[in-house]
Amino acid sequence: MKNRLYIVVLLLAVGLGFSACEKVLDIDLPEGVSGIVFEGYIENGTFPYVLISRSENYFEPIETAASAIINSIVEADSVFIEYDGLRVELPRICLSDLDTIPNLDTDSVLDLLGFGSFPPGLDLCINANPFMVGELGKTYKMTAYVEGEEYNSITSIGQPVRLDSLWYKDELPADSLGAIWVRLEDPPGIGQFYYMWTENLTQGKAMAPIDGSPSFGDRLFDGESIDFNIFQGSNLANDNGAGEEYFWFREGDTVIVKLGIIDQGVYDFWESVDAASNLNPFSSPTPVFSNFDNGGRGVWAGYATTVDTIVCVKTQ
Amino acid sequence: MLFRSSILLLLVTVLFCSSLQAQEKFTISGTITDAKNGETMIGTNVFVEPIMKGATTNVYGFYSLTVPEGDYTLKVSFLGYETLSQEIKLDKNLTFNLELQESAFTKDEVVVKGQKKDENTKSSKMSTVAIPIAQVKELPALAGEVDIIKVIQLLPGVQSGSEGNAGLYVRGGGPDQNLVLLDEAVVYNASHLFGFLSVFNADAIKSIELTKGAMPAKYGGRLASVLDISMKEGNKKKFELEGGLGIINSRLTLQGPLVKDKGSFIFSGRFAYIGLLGGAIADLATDDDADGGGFFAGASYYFFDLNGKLNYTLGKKDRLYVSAYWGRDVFSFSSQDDFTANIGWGNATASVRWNHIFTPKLFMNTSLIFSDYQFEFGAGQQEFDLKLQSGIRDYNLKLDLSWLPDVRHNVQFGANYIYHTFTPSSVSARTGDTELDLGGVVKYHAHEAAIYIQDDWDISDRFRLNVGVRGSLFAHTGPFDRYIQNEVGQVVDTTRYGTLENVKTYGIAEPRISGRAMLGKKNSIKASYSMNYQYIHLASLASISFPTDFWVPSTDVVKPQIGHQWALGYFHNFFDDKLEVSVEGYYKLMNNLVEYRDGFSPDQNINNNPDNNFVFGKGDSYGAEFFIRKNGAKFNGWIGYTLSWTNRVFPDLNNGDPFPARYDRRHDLSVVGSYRISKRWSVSAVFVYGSGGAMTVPASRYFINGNIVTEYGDRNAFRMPDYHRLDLGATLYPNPKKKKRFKSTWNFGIYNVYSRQNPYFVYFATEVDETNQSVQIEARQVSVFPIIPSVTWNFKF
Repeated sequence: MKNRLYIVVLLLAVGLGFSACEKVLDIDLPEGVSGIVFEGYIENGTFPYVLISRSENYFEPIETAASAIINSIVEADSVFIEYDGLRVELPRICLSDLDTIPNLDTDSVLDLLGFGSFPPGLDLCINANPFMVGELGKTYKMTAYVEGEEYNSITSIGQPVRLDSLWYKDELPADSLGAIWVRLEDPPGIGQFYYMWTENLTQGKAMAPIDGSPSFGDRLFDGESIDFNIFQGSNLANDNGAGEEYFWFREGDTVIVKLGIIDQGVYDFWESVDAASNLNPFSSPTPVFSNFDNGGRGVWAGYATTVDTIVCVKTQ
Repeated sequence: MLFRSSILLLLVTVLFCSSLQAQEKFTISGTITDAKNGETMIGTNVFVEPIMKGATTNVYGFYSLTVPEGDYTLKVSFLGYETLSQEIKLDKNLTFNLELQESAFTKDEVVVKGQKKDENTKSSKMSTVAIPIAQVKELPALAGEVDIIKVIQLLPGVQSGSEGNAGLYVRGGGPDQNLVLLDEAVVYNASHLFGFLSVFNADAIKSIELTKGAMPAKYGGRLASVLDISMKEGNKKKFELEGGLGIINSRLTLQGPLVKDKGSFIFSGRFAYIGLLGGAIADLATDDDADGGGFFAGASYYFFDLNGKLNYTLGKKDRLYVSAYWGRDVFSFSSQDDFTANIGWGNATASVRWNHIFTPKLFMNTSLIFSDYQFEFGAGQQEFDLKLQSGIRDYNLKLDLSWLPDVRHNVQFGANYIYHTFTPSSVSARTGDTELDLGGVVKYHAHEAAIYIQDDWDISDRFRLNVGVRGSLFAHTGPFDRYIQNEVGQVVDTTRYGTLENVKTYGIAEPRISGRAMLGKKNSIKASYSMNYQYIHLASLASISFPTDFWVPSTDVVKPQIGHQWALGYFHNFFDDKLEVSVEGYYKLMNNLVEYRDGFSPDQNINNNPDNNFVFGKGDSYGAEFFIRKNGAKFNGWIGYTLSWTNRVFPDLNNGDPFPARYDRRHDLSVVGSYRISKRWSVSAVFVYGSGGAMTVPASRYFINGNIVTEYGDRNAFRMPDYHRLDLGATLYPNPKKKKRFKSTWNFGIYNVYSRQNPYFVYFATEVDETNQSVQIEARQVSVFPIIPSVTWNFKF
């Protein structure tokens, strides 16, 4: 809403009878500070993994998103997870090694990382342990040694909350597009934080955070039942077939909706990512938080998840 | 203790100096008015020859001059008016209510009138500029819309927030640090059109004075400046209708006597063209963006201002003024995807003022003032509805007295009480059938009181001192709920305060002093120090002021802002005071400045105290201002240049490192001139140059979830391209010689003559090529005002 207000201001300036003019600036920009970035997840029932990369100069050209991600990947000296007094290593695994590892195949790993496909000839390496799975109610500490520095972060997998119900609603009368509506019964007690994804089996879209604000807290509806609509999300790296209609679901789609419970540190991270990507020209820049110490960027996120499947059929 | 000592010292000084002179003295007093329309004249020089002692009329046109018994020539002078002389035998107190005639040369012409000739060098005031309204109307303006705030921005030490913006940034201060007064009533948001135009209708304005430093003790509550605007009183001699047709709005003003020479009225209205704006937006959006076209197709916009004032002379010693202002902006739109929004905001002010002359030496004004600013936003889409409201309302009782015991002292003292009610941000929302718990309407209540005393002491012909002190007190009281947060920002407890229960009280004595030493007949040096407390704060998310910004009081969490300013200046007049030259250096310290914390989003104010999301820091600002002003019958204008630095340090922002303020501007130059070619034509020009504004730019990026995450560099470390622009204007007076009652003028203007593409803002675009997934990132500058010709027709009869 707020962003729309700023658009109004700009349009007003222009609407006064004058025409706005835009040009590309050729300017000397500051050198970015290079830092180590972690993108690590652990979820009930799935194995933990972390993608470790390096931040790049903002204006460095990006040939393709996939190649940019690959080129930014950093090889860690070692990565460990501690829980229940145990210390487990997350060894480095590359796509090219997958043939030798049980429980893993290339497609499921790419799905997991949000890549619909991967350009041939490129290799992607992560730190993962396919022999352990996340458990509800447990806290996991990650310690990573990268280029001689130690980075630590803690996350937990809380208790999951299941959606009360889901239904499809034809939002645009003129065609067959619509949104999925969900009803969430929030348990009493402020401080519950949620994260949502969808996977569209019919359209072949991998599990991805919903469009808009996939993370949200219960500060405004603590202990209440709330109905809201969701749209499917996208990222640069998957083949999203973006267009005007991308965010809508189509009648007949089979969609998996995943609801996750996250802790405050993870919520703060996602909120700051969301805020930083929705800046208007007059706003103050928003730094992106991290739950890593020692200047590490990114997140080590635990999710307590439940999934529901819905076939998009109009409800009258 | 400090406050009591200061008052005692002042009183002792005044009384001691008065009692030293045993010779019998008498007082000449009265009111000076304009013979043409009966308007009282502010700042008129009244003096007696041969002793050359004088006084200046106050804002109500009143003067008082106490000198020893004797024979004198009383002279009254004002730039652009015939000097009036009268022989007097002073052996008792005398009252002279005098009318000044416009000088023969300036009759029927628009030339700059309105200030004492040698005020610049002889007054103890510094860092103060008065702009004659006639000059404001002569200068070229954006779209031909005369705007006093935009002319104020051309003065040294004053900047605008961005191109076309009617905000004020004075000597490194923020937009909330200016006390903007319209007939003594505070105007909390002085802009229309989301900041492109100010709310002040020049047709209803009589005088404008900006104080950038050395704030007199009678003013308080802000750190940076006072913009004191007085409305016209209305023509006491005859009825007059004037108006104008412009590109954006039209104006109409009616004024005339209530009872001839006893009372008058003025009503003035200004209305924006609804269709043009709404239509232009819709057309633009439809042309450029199919999606946006749907979004804005149902847009409409209008705004209006209404000014009204009545005054009546109740008797020889009493006069009553009633003035009011009401303005409103209303924007609404609806889109094809069922999104609707209505945005409305505006100010309302009202002042009732009673002047009373107790004795020829003691003048009193009592004011009862109402100020109100409200913002409302309503939006809905499908099952979701949101309403947002914020505002501030004041009831203000003010007492000001001027005591002029003798010619060397002008003592002013008074008291002030304000009851503030703040509505920082009250939000209600609904999704489906669920009413979201957004905390309902939250109001803050505060009481602000002040007493002050100051003496403008003419110690000798060489030295003059203005010394004063202002004692201020501020109490935030209940009903109030303080939400207690834990270390991760969750509200874990609430402290509840009952009605009128004290939440937090602050009080301080604010010393103010300025002095002048004449070096020769036409040159002087001046120095000043002032300390100011500011108890109310504007919570702003954007780099420029928006109507969405809301005011909050000092609380148990937010301490008052404190400002200290030191200034030193050299003033020199040439060519019989027609050319004024000055240079002022200043240094300013500001403590307890307020910003939102990093990562704040507006929804975090819901069910929470907004000040729980604030961080606090300090700032400094220093620089030098050069000002050359030419006042003449034909050519008027000025050159102002400012070299300045403005910095901020917030422990919780920018890693605690110092950073330039958003409006830090190294060089700022304005060249302003108007020239009367003939009786039919006058021309004017404005050139401005400013160093690029500060902004924060992205430094690094990384990928999370396959999307780019941006990491910003040091705060405000990047400079936008420099700003410069030339505007030209011309005014045609058809048939100037004809004595017809109906008169009209045509104003022609060209804004941005060489169509410089000045930055309105710079943003960073990420362009994704869907085919090969390549990404281009580039900096883009948006400019909004290219060359813009304008024509305005004004009439009067």
